[in-house]
Amino acid sequence: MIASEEQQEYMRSGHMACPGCGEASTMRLVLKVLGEKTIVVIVPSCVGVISATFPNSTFKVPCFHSAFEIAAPTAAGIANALRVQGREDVTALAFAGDGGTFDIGLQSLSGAADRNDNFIYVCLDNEAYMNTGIQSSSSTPQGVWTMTTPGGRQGRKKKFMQIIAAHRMPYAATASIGHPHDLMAKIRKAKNIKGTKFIHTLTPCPTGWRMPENLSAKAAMLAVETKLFPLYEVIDGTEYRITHQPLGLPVQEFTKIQGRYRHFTEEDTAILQREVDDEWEQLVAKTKGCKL
Amino acid sequence: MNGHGITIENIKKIVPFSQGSTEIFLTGLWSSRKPIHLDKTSPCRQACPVGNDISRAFYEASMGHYDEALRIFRQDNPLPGVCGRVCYHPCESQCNRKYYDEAVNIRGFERFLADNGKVDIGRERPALLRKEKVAIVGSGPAGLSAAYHLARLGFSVTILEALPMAGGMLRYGIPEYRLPKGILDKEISYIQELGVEIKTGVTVGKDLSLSETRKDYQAIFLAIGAHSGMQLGLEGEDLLGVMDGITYLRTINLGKKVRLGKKIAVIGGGNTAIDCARTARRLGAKDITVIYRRTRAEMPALAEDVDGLEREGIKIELLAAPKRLISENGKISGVECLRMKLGEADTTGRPSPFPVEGSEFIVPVDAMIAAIGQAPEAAFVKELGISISKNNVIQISSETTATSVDGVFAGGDGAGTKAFVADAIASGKLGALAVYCYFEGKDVKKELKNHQIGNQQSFSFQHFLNPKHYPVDLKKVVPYEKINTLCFPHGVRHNNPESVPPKEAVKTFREGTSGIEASRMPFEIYRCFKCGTCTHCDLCFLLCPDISIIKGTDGYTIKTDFCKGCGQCATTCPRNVIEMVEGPGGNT
Repeated sequence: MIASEEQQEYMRSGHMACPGCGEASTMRLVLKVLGEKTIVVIVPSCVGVISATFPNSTFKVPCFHSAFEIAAPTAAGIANALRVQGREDVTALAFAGDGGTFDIGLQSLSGAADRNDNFIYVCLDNEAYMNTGIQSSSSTPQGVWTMTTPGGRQGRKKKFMQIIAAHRMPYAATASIGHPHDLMAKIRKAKNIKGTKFIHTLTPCPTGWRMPENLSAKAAMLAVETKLFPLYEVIDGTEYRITHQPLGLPVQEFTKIQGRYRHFTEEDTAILQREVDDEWEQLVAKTKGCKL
Repeated sequence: MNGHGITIENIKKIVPFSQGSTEIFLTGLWSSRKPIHLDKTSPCRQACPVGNDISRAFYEASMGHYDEALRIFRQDNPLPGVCGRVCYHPCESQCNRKYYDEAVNIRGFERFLADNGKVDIGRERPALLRKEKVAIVGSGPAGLSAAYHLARLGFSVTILEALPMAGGMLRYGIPEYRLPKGILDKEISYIQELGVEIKTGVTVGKDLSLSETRKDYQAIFLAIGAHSGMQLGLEGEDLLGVMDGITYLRTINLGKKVRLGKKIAVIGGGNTAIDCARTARRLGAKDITVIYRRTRAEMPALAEDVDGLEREGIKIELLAAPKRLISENGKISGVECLRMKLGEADTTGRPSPFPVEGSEFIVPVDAMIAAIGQAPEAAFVKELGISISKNNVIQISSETTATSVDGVFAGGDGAGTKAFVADAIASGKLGALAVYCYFEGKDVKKELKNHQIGNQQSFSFQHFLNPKHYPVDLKKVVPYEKINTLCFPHGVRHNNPESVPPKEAVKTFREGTSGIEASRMPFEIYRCFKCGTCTHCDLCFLLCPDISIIKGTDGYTIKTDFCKGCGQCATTCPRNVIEMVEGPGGNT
């Protein structure tokens, strides 16, 4: 059930997202929870294309289009300006993609998190630079096809939540559009915490993941249920809690619907499965002894 | 001047503020495919001979509306308390959940509703009463069902019952430990509250001729059942200590005593055979053997009842058939049996047994009960010229329940439908439709087709009453592949617990199983996928990237101007309510 104040929409139809865009639905739900008193920061990315087709905007709340690498400090600046004006009822929110977070925006995010400025940072991770034509980022999983890694990416996906946890920020969580109630609950929680809050969302991209547009939400669900993208939260960088118990499906349920995994051999999948299982165990181990 | 009149001075300062709305872009034009919300039919409902709207009842119950859930069951089935106990639950064998973990305990749910829900008969009373009078001969499940549905259609209905109390096989064929009489009484009383008159102790054909009845009533529905046990066709069946199964059960249920002795053989593998053996056990027989000519897999009796039988210490001799009855002083003393082997499948699809030569063996007994099938006592209908088969089965058209005589219809066991309670109820329901069509001059086959559920013989009574406002597409049945199982965690099935341990059970006729506990029922209700029934779970609404699904108070509407037709909603709908269609799509 959705709270009555969250019935309102803060994103308008007619935006330029591809059909079945996972980012559009994620942004919509985040704004639904944060409500009218929100200032959004966006950076050049799909988000810029979706929401800011000048002179029109998809957001019903104020939105600031900043530079690629500075989503976090821009939101931090807005948050500080609001604090000076005594407007701490307004939430500063940054949307950035995996490129703007994992790669180019990493140092500025790290700095803002270090100062523990009061804003929410939502990383819309679609695992490549989709906007410019599907180039690999440090969020692209190993072996995956992109335009710049036609034979499959050599590097491994950055374990970003560990970097975030290392900052010991008050609240960090993973969330997925496949589990909208869980996502909204986490945003609700983040809204009421002071300091830097980081939400890592996996936002399937039908265009870049090479899959039919009707499958993006299902892909998001599968990522969670195969334990590939577990849903959990980290308080103060130390207290871990798993918020959704996955069904534990085999990873090929997730990979087989996407063209970017098409060249995966059985062996590749087996390696991926082992990795997923190991990481899940590590995560479970981290939750041991936590009070949450 | 450069001709076009634009100078650097008169270009307005470009202000980098977006103040317009993206709603000027009609992104709905990107695709001609649009979603449509439309409730469909669940496979359990299609499998149910009575056509109970199971998934909708589960949905209502999931919101705590147990009374409403019961009302949904009672739209099609007047006897949910009976079916909730003794039905052979074909619904559970078609349940989509069985492919995921285990089928939902649908029968247990129906029983729970019947035992705990409140019935408001007032709401079922027809708005208009009709002047036509209908007589129903027999008050078994078929007769009661026909009476209930005809009464709801406004007919004045009288049931004529030969035995001292109403219920037919439900009362005189099914033992108390499986179906307590109190439950049956309660459900019959609701039918009476609807205005149905039940005259017991009236044997049509003896106390009252069928032609007289035909004069007094404008239509007759014959639901006479099959109360005469079939003979084995062996010599010595008139010996002392030999009885047929259904007579045995009826005698016990009439409250009379039958002394059979300690060692008893029961011939047959159907429910009657199992009931006879377990009844005899409760009445003190120590050594009981059920003799069946095929294997356990082919037994027509419910597997759970056969399990119960074994738990109570009753032996089953499989692949054996009686060849000769051995007597001593005019009383049966043993049954000589032959070993059987299974061969080719027969017309019923079961392998046919054939005897192994020289494999004779003797089962010593004090008495033998033959429960190998029952036949109707239908000779009296010939008086009106109604044709019957050589087994005394009334000949009807299976689609219309019409006999060879105008205005006379027949159903249930007596007319050769499947010998299960649910099928008898279904046949009574179809009979009611046929009688209605008879008076209205409508074609039953056409009506049945209009309101038919999936590809089965059952139909929706609610759809029949009000097809325009019926929210479900009865023809589209949801297959398992269309269920988004990612939305459902695994969970174990909640079975009905045993109420008495087997050691105690053999001493009492108390009901053997109890209802699912009220505290556990919600878990079983949650397990149900609710295939094809929109539960307003909001998933489609929350996932829509184009903010094109609007949530209303009674469902969802589509903003077709903006929907890009991605189809995520249809793909992720947990229960296959949404479909993508070419054209305008939109709302239901």
